[in-house]
Amino acid sequence: MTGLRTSLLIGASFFVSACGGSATHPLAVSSATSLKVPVTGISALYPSTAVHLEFAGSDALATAIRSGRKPDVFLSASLKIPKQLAAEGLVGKPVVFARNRLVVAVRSGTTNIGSFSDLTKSGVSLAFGSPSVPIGAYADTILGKLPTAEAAAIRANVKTREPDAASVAAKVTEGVVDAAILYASDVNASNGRLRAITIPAFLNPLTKCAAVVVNGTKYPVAAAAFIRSLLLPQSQQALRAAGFLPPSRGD
Amino acid sequence: MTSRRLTSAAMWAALTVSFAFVTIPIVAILTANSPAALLDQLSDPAAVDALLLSLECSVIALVLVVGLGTPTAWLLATRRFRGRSLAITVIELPLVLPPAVAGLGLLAAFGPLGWLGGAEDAVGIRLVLETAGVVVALVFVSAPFHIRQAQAAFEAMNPGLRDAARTIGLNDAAVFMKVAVPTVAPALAAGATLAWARALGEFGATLMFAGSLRGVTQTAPLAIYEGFGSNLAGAQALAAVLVAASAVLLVTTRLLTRRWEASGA
Repeated sequence: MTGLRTSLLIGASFFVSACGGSATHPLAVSSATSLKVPVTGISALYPSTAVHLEFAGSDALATAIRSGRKPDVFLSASLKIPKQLAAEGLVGKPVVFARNRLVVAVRSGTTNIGSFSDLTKSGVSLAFGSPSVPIGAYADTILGKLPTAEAAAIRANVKTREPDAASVAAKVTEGVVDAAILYASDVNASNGRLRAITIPAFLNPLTKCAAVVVNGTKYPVAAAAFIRSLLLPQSQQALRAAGFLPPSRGD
Repeated sequence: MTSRRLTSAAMWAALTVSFAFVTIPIVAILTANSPAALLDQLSDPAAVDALLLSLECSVIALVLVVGLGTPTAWLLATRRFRGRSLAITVIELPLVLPPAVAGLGLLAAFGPLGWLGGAEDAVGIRLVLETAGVVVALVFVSAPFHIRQAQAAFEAMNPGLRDAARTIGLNDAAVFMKVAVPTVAPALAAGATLAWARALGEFGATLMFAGSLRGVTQTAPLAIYEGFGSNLAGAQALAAVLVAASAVLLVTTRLLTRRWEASGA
């Protein structure tokens, strides 16, 4: 009898704390692959909140949310995707927690590409993200700002369109392609295997990373707290160390 | 009596669950879009390109798998040599390897920075980012399906046939070409069909080794994955085609296997 009562009590306290959004149940966080390094680091900064991390392309994670496979929190490499989800009533208001720059990434030691304009040279092979994943959409945005002939020359050099930023980066580190358009943070995460070549500022869209609470989560309080924690100084420090920029005042 | 009936009921229940478990997702894919919407999605040029590329690459891979795999299986079935069981294990390994491991392995071997990358450059061959690279990935993952089946068929062949062929003066190559292959032809065809089905479905090794570019390396499974992020209906339509193709190939395999068993060779 005592045993039964004890287990009932334990069960009840678990239930209460779970509803209160404390750390008894791990928070499911789906994140863009490009955010892997800082998000993994940040989740370790707050051990009181257990977090289950899943990484994939932001577009694929958005499809998962639309199909009903919902995490508690979604971290996107673009503001556009969570805005669309919010308009569909699937997530809350996006919170911009970091920005990123785009660069041309080459393997360290590569000499045939020294500047952005070298991407137009014939014989150069390039990897882009697929058009629906942010890293690929941003690359298309850049080409859209170029004169037609230059854009066409670069497009002809694109030999693969990959599902997420990590697999774009792998195509460069494995020597499969000569260069790729990637985030500055991807080069940062490569431990020196990649080198960044600047993309001129007038072409470079400053990208925004946004976090949303997924509607229908059982842990809205913990989810919102996790998103707030992304803006805390030590989280911002981790993001900066990974090559991200802080959100601007207007975000 | 009651317990026997209970066991029987449990078995039928297990069968029902197994059947439903596979059937429901397949029916869900086939019915995700109306037939008109399905046809509309499939008329998208990108979908057509993906299906044609899948057909092209898988047929080339099939020719290579049958051409190299059949004599391989014959030797494994008829000769006893040192390292034979090691060879069998290694050849069959891709059956159980994760496709991502296959992709890494192919890159480490045939990638530009891999073991044979320099040699490929020297003779002007390029596999990564090319349709040829897709074929390499498909051969790697599908070959054991054919080799395994062919080896089993050759081993099951009546040894009297081989001896008879030898006594009339045929050498080993002639026994293989004129006696063994025709005798077990339905079994070989069944193995080849299964290998073809596996090749049609290959995803991970292709993406990692060859890349994904429409018309060059983006086969139907890769187009499905890309569509998952951008055009779910299109992905579902392509998936429906692959379900149909796989079903046809599997039924073909079964019919061929039945013919081979009935022939009693």
